[in-house]
Amino acid sequence: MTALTARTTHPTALNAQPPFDLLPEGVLDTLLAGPPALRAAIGPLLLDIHASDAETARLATRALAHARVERHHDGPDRQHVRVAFIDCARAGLPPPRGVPGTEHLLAPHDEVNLREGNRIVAIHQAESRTWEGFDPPRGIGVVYTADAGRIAPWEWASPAKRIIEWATLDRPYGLLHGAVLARGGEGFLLAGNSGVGKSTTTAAAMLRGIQTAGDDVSLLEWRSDGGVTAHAAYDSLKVGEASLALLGGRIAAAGEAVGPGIAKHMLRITDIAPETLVQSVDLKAILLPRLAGLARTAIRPAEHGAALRALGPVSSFVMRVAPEATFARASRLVRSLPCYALDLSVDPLEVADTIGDLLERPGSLP
Amino acid sequence: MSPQRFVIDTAAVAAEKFDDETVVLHFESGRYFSLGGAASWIWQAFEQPNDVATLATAAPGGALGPALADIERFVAELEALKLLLPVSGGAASAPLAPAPELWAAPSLEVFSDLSDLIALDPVHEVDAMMGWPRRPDPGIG
Repeated sequence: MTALTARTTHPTALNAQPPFDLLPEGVLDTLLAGPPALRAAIGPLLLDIHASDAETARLATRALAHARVERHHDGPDRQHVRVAFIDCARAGLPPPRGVPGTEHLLAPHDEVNLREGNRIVAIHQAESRTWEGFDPPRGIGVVYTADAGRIAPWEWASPAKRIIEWATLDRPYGLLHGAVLARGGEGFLLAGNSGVGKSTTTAAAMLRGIQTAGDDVSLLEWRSDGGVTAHAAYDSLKVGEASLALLGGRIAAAGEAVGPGIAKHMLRITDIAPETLVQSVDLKAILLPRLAGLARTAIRPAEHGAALRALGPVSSFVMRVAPEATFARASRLVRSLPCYALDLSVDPLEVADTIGDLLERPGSLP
Repeated sequence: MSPQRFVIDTAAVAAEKFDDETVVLHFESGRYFSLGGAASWIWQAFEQPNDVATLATAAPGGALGPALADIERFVAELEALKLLLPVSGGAASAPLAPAPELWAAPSLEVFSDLSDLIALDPVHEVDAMMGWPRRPDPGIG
């Protein structure tokens, strides 16, 4: 970043509130006036997904279909957010312009954040020429892209994630990064950075019939009784080649690779074990998995500080738009629940069985 | 000459204190930190402008006691990590919270696993009003 700043010779202003002011007049209003491709209910959130064309609608809705509700479904107690996915290539629109002066400076996977203070207010992704932004007063989010086919595959595993984050910043609920496992609607949040074993453990748990609300992000809601509910945000599971091998081929690599050079497959939970995907889980504890190479998985109490280190920074990085708010949400969660370190064995199915036992007998937690 | 005062760069970090640890996240770099021992007390002191001598006076052993070197070293480390900002002037700060009775050298554990991810997938920060290449002013907003 420092090198790029030094090479540029003069400032150029966008003179617009992207992406809204960059859209051709009437495009957004026309799109939103029609029925949504999907209406999804995720806990307190009612999400309408609108798309400019059938293929973009397919991409934008497949990880949200588990939460589908009828179009006439209304929830006066719910927050209503509308999201418009606009693919210029398919809609016959001119591609959106980027941030002036940055076009020749950006590598394909780079993003440009427009900030106000510590909050990001709009994001531009270089390779796909995609703008993403949210208008809080109107409750409208926009993903405005030159070509939806050039949006990174892993983005479709959690579509509109940042729009949901923008929409919920000042609410008593919001997204956090982690896997959720449960039995009978009560369960645990597995927290930690990439590579600690969350997704592999989730996949193994599904094979054992353990419920899940997802392996990546869920919508956490604080209830009036002081408890916390995790709502399943996305029907998706990202598993690497090594994890597929560990599971002994029990899960076929049917999903597409997440990205070039990134050895992960995106699968849908409902394609593997549809009965395991649950809409909501009453969280009872936070587990902090760690690859320990043990013969048997072990659990021990963990300090709240350790739980925040496992949950807060990575959630702030994954959600990105307001790291201070995300970090505060993570802190609130670790103060709300008991925390345990989970030292994993080398066998993910044994890990799943251990978690299953703890879910069956929560009194056995140390 | 007045001693150099410092304050936490609240625009750049978020922090949460628990009984025996303070966790700090530096937004731009993605690095996060665990502060143990007397580090939490020192961190709390810099929630308002303060200087090394004031902290040392409040620490066990007083202004010229063994804690002075610990505090000096730790403050220099926090400044080098861009967690503290030097400040000048300003009103006198409120009295400090009591220092730990059993003094243990302040410790700082640095976690850079996320900053490695950020380096692989660069994100460029732009001021919303002025556009590129104006980086956002932390004082705005």
